[in-house]
Amino acid sequence: MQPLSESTFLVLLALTKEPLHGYGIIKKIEEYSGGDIVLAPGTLYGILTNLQKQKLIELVTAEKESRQKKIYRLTDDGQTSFLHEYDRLKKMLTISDDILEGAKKHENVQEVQNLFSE
Amino acid sequence: MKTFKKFKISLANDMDKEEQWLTEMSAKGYHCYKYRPFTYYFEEDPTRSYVYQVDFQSSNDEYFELYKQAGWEHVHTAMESFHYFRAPKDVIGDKRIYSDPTSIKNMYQRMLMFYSIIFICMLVAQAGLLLNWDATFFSILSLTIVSAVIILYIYLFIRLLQKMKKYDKQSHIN
Repeated sequence: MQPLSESTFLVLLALTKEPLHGYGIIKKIEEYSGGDIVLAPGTLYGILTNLQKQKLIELVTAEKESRQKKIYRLTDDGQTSFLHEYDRLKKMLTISDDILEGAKKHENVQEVQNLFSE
Repeated sequence: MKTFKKFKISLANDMDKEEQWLTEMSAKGYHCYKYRPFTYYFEEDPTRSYVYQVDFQSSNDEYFELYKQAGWEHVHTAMESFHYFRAPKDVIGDKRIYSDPTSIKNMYQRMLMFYSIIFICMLVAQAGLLLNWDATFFSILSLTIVSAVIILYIYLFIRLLQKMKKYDKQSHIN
């Protein structure tokens, strides 16, 4: 499985809790990121088209009639894809934490050794 | 309100320059409100200033609704796929219709596909010219025109591929 782009990951994240329409996804990501990330409409439209082709999201059946306000939800595959990427990112963060903390411990050891050698 | 039109030829691969030009015109108080082949219609109002954006996309109602909600006013659509949008500069700030390089690359890729299909159709349509070659003035004139168009298309393809490469590189840095 290919790593998801950051924007694609955010769209899947926005849909994990509830189905949303296009602009609702933009608003949800904006809300989650405290206003830092505002997905542009062209970027979102392309992602929604791709995710539908890959069957990672689907239209909520009852809303298929309304052409303007299509509501999207995650499919089971979409959920799996999201969790897969989540695990991958988490693993990278854990490794990073280990290395960064390890470096700190190493610095502490050195400081203690320096104290004793004085 | 005073209106006027301006004639300008712009190739599809120079969409970003076209956007920039329309935005600069708007900053001077001349706002494009209509487009006909090679002709831009402006209206004058020094109190407003817009950011213009051009998109290439197969659209539907949902597409226009999404752009509208995100603050983009639809100005015009050319050839069913080139969509002109604008938004007041003071409201939209530095937001644009695309927020990552991957989606811009995808747009140029769609454009490349679109023109490739037109190009192939044109080649097929003009194949008769060579098959029934008779070296009359008319045939030579036609061949000259067709050759010029082919060169123009090849130039367009190269420029579109360069654009795709540029945004693809940017997306790998991110």
